[in-house]
Amino acid sequence: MIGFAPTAEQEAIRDLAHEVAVEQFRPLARTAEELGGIPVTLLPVLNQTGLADLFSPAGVSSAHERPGMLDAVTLALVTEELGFGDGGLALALVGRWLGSLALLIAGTPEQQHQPLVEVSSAHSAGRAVTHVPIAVALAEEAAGFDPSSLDTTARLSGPQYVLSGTKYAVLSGIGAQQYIVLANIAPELGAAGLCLFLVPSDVTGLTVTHDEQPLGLRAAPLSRLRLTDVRVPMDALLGQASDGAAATLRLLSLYAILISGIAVGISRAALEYSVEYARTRVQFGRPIAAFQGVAFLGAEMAMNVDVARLLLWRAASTWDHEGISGTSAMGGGTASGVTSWTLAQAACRKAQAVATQVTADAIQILGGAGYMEDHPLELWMRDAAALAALVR
Amino acid sequence: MIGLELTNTQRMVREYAHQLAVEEMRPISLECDRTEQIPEEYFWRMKRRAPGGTEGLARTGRWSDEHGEPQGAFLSVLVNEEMGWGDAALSTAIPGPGLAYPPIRTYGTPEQQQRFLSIYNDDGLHWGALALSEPGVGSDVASIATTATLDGDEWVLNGTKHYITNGARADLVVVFATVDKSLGRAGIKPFVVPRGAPGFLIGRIEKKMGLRASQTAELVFDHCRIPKDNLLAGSDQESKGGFKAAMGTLDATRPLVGALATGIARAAYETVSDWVRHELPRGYPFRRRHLLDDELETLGQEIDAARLLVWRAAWMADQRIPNTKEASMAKAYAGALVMRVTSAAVRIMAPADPGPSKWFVDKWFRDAKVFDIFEGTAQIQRIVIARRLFGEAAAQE
Repeated sequence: MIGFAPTAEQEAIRDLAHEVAVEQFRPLARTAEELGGIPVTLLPVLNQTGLADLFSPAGVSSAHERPGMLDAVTLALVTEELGFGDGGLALALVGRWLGSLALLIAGTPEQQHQPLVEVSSAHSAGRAVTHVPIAVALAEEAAGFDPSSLDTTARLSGPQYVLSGTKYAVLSGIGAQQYIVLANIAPELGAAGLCLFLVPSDVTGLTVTHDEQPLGLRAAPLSRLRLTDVRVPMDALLGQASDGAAATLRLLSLYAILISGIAVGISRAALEYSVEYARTRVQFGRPIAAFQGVAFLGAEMAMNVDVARLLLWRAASTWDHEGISGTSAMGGGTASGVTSWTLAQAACRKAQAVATQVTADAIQILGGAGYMEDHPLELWMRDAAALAALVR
Repeated sequence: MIGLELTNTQRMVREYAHQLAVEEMRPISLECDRTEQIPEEYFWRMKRRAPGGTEGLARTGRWSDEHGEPQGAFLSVLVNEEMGWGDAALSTAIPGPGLAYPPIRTYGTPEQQQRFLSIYNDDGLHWGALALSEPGVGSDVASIATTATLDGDEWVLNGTKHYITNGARADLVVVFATVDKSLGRAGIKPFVVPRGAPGFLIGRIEKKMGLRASQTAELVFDHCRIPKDNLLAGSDQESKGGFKAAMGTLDATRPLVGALATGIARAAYETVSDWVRHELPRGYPFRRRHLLDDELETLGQEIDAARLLVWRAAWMADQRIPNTKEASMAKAYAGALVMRVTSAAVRIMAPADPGPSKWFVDKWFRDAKVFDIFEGTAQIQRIVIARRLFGEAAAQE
C-alpha cells in the first residue's frame, strides 16, 4: 500500500505530541539543558498524556488502546514532533521508553510484566529527572551497532550466562535499577547470535560511568557500561534463544527509527524558524527570502528534510510490515530483500547528517543573530551534532 | 615567479606565532570558553609577546626581510593561521588597535594617525574596535542608519551598533555613520569615538554559540559628542566617502579571517587524525576504518586549498594588486571548509572518551560556524566573486 498521508488517528496522536512539544518543551529547553535532565515541572503533563511511559502495561493513557499497538510509522510521527520541540527532552523520553519497549518486543510474557514504576520525583536529582528504571545498552564505541563487530559477548557457563564487554551512549544509565544489554552469544554467526539480557544494577562485575557530552542533548545524559564476567541466571535472557536474534534486530531497528524521528524534528524546527525569519528580515529594501542565495539555501534544506523524513517512513513502514507479515528482519525481509534494520540504520545516519547541515544553514539564514543564544538555532545545531554519538 | 616555499623569515614568524598559541592560548582556551572571561595576565603577556597585536607581529621591524619585498599582509596571514589554531576568540582579545587600525591608517591624516594610534605604544592595555553592523544593518552596509550631525565644532552621533568585537573595552571605536541619508553610500563616514565620550553607552554583551571568550558588544550613541576633527578626513577625498573606507577594510581583513578559519580547521584535523591513529577503539569495523581514512585524506587536502587561497590574496595585497575577488574566495572557501572539518571531527570522535581532545573538538565546532557569517556572509562573498567573474551580466537582484 502506497500513501503519504497520516490517518485521522495518527494525526490526533501527532497533534497531541506537537502541543506538548510547542507548549511544554520549547519554553523549558534551555532549563532542561542546564539541569541535565527532564525538569520535574514537566512530569504532570508527561504522565497525563502517557508520553512518560508509552509502552508499559501500566503507563498507557486513554489516548491509545493497548500497549504495543503503537506502530513504527506512528512513533516516527510522534518522535518528529517531540524532536521539533526539543531534541534533548525528546531523547530523554525515548530513553524512558526503551526498557518497556525491549521487554515488549523481545521478552516473554512473564518478563513483560515486570513491575515498573511510574516516573516520579523519586527518579530525580533535584529539579530534573535523570534516572530510569530500566536503561537499555545497545551501542558500542567501536562497533556502533554492527552485529558482527560487537565487543559484548555472552557465553553459557553451567546454569548461568557470563557477559563481558563494553557499551556506550546508554541513555540515562546512571541510577537505573536494571539494564537490558545487547550481546552476541555466537559472534561467529554474526547477527544470528544477537540477544538481550536483563542485568540487575547491583550485579558483580558491572561498572557504570557518566559519559560527559557537553556539546548538546544535555537533557538526556549518557553512560558507559563495562561488564567483566557478569553472571546472570538463565531467565535473564530476553525471550527465547531460538528467535532472540530476530526480536533483537527489531528492537535495534525501532530504536534507530525513534532517533531518526528526533533528528527530522530538529531539522524541521530549524527550517521553519529560518524560513519565517527570511520572510520578515529586510535588507536592501526587501525580505532576504527574495535573494536567490537565501532562497536556494532554503529550498535545499526543505528537500533534504523531506528526504530524511521519507527514508524514515520507509524504514518504519517496513518495520510495521515485518511485524504484520511475520517476515523476519533477519533475512528475506521485504520482497526487495531489504530489511527494516538496514533501512533504519541508513535512515538514522541520513537524518543525523541532514540535521547537522540544516541547523547550520538555518543559522546562516539568520546571520549574526543566529549565532546568539537569543535564538534557539545554536542549541538545535549543537543537539544535531551531538546525535552523532547515538548514530553509527 | 610561482613559488610556494616559505622563506626563513616567514618560517620564523610562523613559528613564533605558533609558540604563542601553544604557550599562551591553548592552556587557558577551554576555561575561557566556558567562563567567557579572560584572565588579565593573558593581556599583559600578549602585549609583551605580540606588541601591536597580530598585525603588529607582522609589521614590527624585528623581522628583517631578506628579499626586500613587502610582505606585511603575507606575514599577517601566517600569524593568523596560528592564532586560529591556538584560539580564535583569544586572538581577538590581544591588546592592540585591532580592526580600528586599517581605517585610521588609510583614511586618517598623519596628525590623526599619531593622535589615535600612539596610545597603543604606551605601557598600558589598550584595545580598538570597528563599528559597522546595526540591528537593522547586516549585509546591507549602505543602509547604515546611525547619524552624525555637525553642531559647532562637534559631531553628534545617534544610533545603535551591535556585534562589535572588543566594543566594551576599546579605547576608541571607529564608527561608521551617515551625515546625510539622502546621499546613500556617499554620506557614510568613519568617526573615531573615544571611550567615555559623552552620550556613548555600552549596551549588552552577547552570549554566543562559539568564540565565547571574544567580547561582542552593543554600543549606543545617544547624542554622543565628539570633536569635529575625529572624522577621518582622508575619507572625504573619495567620492563614495566612507563607504569605500568600510569596504576597503574588508579586502584587507577577509584573508585574515580566512587564515583564522584555516587555523581552526587544521587544529580539528590534527586532533581527529591523532585520535583515529592512536585511540580508535579496538574492534572498529575494518570497512568503516577505510572510509574514515579516505575522508581525512580529502579534508587534509582541502585545508591546503584554503591556505593557498588565503596566501594568494595576501600576496596580491602586498604586491598592491587589487584583490577583492581573491580575498572573498579565501574567506568563502575557508569558512565552508572549517565547518566541514569540524563537523566531521565531532562525528568521528563521537565515541571518544570524555576529555580535553573531545572538548576542544566540540569547541572548534561551535567556533567554526561564525566564519560563514561575519566579515561578509558566505552568500555575500559569492556575490562579490560572481560580480567580478561575470561582470555587469551579474547585475544585482
